[in-house]
Amino acid sequence: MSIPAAMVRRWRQARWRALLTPVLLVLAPLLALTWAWPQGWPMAVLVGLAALAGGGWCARRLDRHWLALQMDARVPELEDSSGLLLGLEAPRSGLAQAQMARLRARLPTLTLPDLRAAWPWRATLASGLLAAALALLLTHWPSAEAPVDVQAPLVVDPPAAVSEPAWRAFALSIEPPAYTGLPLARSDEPVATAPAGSTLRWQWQLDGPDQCQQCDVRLRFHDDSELPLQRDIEGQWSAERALPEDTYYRLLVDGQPLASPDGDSGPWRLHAVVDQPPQIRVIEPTRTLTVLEQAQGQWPLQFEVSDDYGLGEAELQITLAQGSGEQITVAERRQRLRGEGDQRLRSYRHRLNPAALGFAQGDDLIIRLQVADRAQPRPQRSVSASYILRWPARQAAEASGVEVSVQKAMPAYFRSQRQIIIDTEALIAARFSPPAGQTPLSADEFAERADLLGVDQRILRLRYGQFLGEEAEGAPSSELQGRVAALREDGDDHDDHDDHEAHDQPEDRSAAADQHAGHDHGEGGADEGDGGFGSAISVLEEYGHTHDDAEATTLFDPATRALLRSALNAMWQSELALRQAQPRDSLPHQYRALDYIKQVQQASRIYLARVGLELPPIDPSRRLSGEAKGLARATDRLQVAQADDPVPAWWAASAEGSAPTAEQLAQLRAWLDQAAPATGDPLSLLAAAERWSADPECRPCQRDYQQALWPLLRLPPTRPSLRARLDAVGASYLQRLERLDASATEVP
Amino acid sequence: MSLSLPPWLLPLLLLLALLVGGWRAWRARRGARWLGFVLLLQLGVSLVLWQLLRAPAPAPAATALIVLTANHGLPTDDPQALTRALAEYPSAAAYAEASVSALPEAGSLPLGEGRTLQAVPDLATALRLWPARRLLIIGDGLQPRDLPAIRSLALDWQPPGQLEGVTDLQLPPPTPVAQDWVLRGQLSLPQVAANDHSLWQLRLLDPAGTSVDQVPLSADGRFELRARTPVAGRHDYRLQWRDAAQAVGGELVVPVQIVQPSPLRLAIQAGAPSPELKFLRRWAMDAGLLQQSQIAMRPNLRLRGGEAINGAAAEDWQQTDLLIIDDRTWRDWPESRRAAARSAVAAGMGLLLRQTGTLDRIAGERLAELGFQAETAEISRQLRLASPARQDCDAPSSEGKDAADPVASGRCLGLGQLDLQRRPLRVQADPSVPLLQASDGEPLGLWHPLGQGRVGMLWLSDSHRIALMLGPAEHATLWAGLAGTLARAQGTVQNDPRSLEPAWVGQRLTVCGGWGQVRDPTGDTTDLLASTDRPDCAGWWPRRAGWHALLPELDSTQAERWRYVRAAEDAPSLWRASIQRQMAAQVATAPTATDPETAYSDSRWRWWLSLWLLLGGLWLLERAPPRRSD
Repeated sequence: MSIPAAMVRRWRQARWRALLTPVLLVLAPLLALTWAWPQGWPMAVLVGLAALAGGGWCARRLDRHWLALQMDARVPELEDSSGLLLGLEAPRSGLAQAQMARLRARLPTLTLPDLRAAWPWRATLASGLLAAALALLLTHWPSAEAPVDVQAPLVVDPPAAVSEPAWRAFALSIEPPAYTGLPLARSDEPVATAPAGSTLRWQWQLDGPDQCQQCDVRLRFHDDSELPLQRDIEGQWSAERALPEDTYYRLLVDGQPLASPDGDSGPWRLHAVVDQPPQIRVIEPTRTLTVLEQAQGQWPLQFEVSDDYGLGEAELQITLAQGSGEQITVAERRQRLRGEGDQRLRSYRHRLNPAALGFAQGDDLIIRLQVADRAQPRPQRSVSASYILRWPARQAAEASGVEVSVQKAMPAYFRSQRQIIIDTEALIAARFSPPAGQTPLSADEFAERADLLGVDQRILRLRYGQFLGEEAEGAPSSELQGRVAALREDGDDHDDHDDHEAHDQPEDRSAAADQHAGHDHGEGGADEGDGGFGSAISVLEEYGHTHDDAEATTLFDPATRALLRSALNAMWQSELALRQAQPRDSLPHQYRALDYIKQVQQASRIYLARVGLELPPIDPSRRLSGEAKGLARATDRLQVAQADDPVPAWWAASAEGSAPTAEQLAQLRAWLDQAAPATGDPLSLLAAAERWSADPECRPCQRDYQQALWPLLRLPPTRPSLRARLDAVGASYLQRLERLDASATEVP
Repeated sequence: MSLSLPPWLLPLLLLLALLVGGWRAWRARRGARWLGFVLLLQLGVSLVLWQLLRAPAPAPAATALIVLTANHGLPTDDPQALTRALAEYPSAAAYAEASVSALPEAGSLPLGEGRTLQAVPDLATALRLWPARRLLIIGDGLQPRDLPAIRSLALDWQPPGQLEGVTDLQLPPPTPVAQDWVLRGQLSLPQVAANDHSLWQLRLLDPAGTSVDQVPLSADGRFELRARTPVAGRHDYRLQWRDAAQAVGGELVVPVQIVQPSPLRLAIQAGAPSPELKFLRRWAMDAGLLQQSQIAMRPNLRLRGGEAINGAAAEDWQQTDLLIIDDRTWRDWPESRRAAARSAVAAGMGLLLRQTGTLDRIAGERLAELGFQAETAEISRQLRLASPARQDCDAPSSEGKDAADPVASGRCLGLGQLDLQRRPLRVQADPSVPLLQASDGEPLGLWHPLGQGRVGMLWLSDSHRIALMLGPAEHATLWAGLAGTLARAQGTVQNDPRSLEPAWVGQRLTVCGGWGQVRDPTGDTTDLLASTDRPDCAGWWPRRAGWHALLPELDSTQAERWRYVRAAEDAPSLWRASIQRQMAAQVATAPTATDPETAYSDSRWRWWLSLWLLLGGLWLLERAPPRRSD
């Protein structure tokens, strides 16, 4: 049972249409996609296949039933019997067979309708427009940094046969240090500027005999260091090197500088941009010293920090200085700060709470901000100036207008008077009321020990006397000192326990200390020995020149001086009594002295004159004697200050137009190494000199060289200009005038 | 009527005519007396005729001529332009009919509006074509080439509008190394209002392009810039002017010649060490001047350096150019030694006495030996030196501090701001010249000549503070000035100021003083052409820009000297200004328009009358009937 051919044709047309319609719909987007994104072609193929499959599926749905339905619906002449013609139902009945035959006969006369679905033009248009817009969007999307392919080989024409090495292509890639965050850069100029520490990679493609396979290719830098280039399989010459500082270099092929295609044979400059340490700007506080009048809750701080590549951590250093005089304790702490802002510019705000740090009246609080950047291998740190928060102590009214600095003096050795009192009391106790089981001291021993105490008292008096400008009466005799020392060593033989007891209970000392005269009493005061005792005074002597006219001593103010004078008088009396073996009589004076010293200690300030020139010590034995014997003949040691400066000579030579010779270049290099000048740009001078030396006829080179040389010229000491000599006429005129004068004076 | 005949031709012809006439008269045989009269009259006629023919050509008619020179400013397409330009001149009526001639530098020619207009190669040609007695010059003025042609002509000229650029530049004379030199000049900016001038800045750039001095432009445009040069030679500094936005308005090469004077020989003698001596000796040593120094420490103990100079006789000081001595030493020297020093000064040495102590009777007498009458005066010991204040420092900085500017920072403390000390003295000498002056007008030192040498006295007591506060360079400059004034004269005569005048390629340059050749920047030498009016002067036309070396004549011993020549198009405002200045000078000295008429009305009619009378006498004799001889 065959289907009528006409029907088959319509059917086939419709199925083809169904197959192709999805393909048409996706065609425009596919084209656009492949244009905008050529790498995405597999995807385009997939989409195309999917569309084709979809079309196939659609076509398969148009089966005989669909055909019969369509035919029946559109061709009334088929009298709803197209199913018979299409063989969907077997013509079992005769009626059906007759109907079939009738239809077959009628079929050629019928015009069968077109069953194809209309092309989806509007949808196609829409999809096309959409695709075009997408494609435009894709191509014009701001691409996030197109990646630079640093290792990409140089794309050059195939080499021609050449006889001499020649430069065909060049690339310089610059890899900045990672911490800078700068992208890789690629340049086709041999001159470059890069952050210091960058890794530079040069690539050259050279022509030459046999493609320059046997060439010796190297870079020579301004300091004559060389870097050989390696040749890889593709014939490229390459080398790598870090750039720590500015330099110049040339490309040497077989020892000869090779010029770039535009004829520039260098030297080329590599400029290393040095990473700057962070810059700190203190916005608050505005002054380095903030003086508090009363307690303040918080101390606002504000800093602004900038860096060229990126900031690291910031730390606030807080120093709290408490106490005064020698009793200052310093506590330091650090606090990490968090800033606002980006990598390169941050601002730090912090509210410091001084009270929480233990800040009290009389204290200083010193802060500094330390900021690091991210430089490798070690970060650079900047520290701001110190800012001080001061809460002055109450009695802070200082005398002003005096050309001296005020220093509080609290020498610890003032306690030694107490020591002598304790020893004296122990001595008296040992003589007159010895503890049970001990024999009292003999009178001789008593007198001797009292005398030793008198020696101690004398030393003490002399120490204090120096403050009043009394001349030293010479050191205590060595014999006396030896005796005192021996006695002390005896005393030191005590065990620790005894010491402590003695410390705690000085009154019981005589009992516990047997016959020894212990010296380790008081607040650990008498541990002086030679160096310790009165060392503060020796400091004064060293820097302060306390020796002074007794009447004009300026170390203490008059009231203090009077107190000290009284203390000395009391010490005199005490010493007198001790030397006479009457310690009992000396005790009241000792207490008086101690009392005065305590007052001095509480009230004293030392006015230390500013000192300048320290002249060598005067030999007093020759002083004012008028003795000239033994004086050496003084030689004048005046020397010319500036050693020979070669720069003016170089300038003169350059002004004459003579380019530096190789020898002069070596001199120049040596000079730049030794006497690195503070001004000018030595590197560019060297480069200009080399360039001019290579081409002595080059006028611009001469100008460049002179321009680089000029800043290195130093102003020599001025010489007087010579006044013009008289010419012959003038001289004879003057002579005649003088003769006339002489005769005029002779006549009268 | 050009008379280029040889000067002997006219007398020869007259003599010939006289001979022929005499011979013919003799042939006439009319008696000896007649012959005598005729010969006498013929001689007279020939003499008068010779006088008439020899005398200058008769004065040209009183015509006027208009001359167009460079920058005449007349448009080429406006026929009324010339009339309008003429209207600005008070004497325009005299030129109503005048022809117009254009000199080559006039460039484009305007329309003639009925006048004769012709381009001429120079003014002399124009004057031959139109023998004028009066010239109206339009434009910048006549070039040096044309100046000889206008002698005794009346001139009318008005300078064209204000120039733009540097109109005056006074270059420094050859200056010693490290000494201050000053560049003065005037910058004219007509398009900038006078009160905006201070926004403009003038900078002096050194050969490396760094600014070494800068000043704001004054209202009248005059400026003064200072610099020091560290090395001898010829250097091209540049003068640059910038507007408020720091944009460069223009620049000009400033050729400067720096010389290194040969060192003086200095002897220093002092009675006690002092800081003043320390810095003085340091300067003298570093500058290579110190010949001898001697400082007394105590009797019979001296700190000696350098050469040993006995000083007992005047001849001992022959090698010394300047002796710097303090009052203590001078006082302690015996009479013979002082006399030797005085006669050494008379023979040329310089002597500078530093007054360091108070003045007593003996010290006063010792000073009087040197010609100084000193007495203690009631004047302040504190002083400041009289020193030119820096303009940019005195002015309050209105626009804020430009921290990036290297020049602006840290040099406002000048010599004039430093507090120094002096001995309170009043010193007189006759005649005397101040060595140094304080800002209150009192001198700090005096000098007077003694024979061929000079004697100076200085009572400034702490010049070393200059070295401490301002640096050794200022101190050295001060002492170099003092030493240069007093020391033995041994330099050569300074350049004549004309050698600093600007010169241009293609313009004739005249140099005086026995120069034979000139070497241009490329090394080619040219013989100089001797001047016709002054035998020791010579000239040439430079062909290349740059430094030219003048080479002395063969028999001369003087060293070569240098002259800078600008390119033809370089510094046009300076060129125009110089032309205008010359023109103004010519106009000022030119005779006024009424003068020439009397000048030209000479007494030729007398000669014509005598000729007529003589010829009449001859005719009478010719016509007279021959007398019968008796």
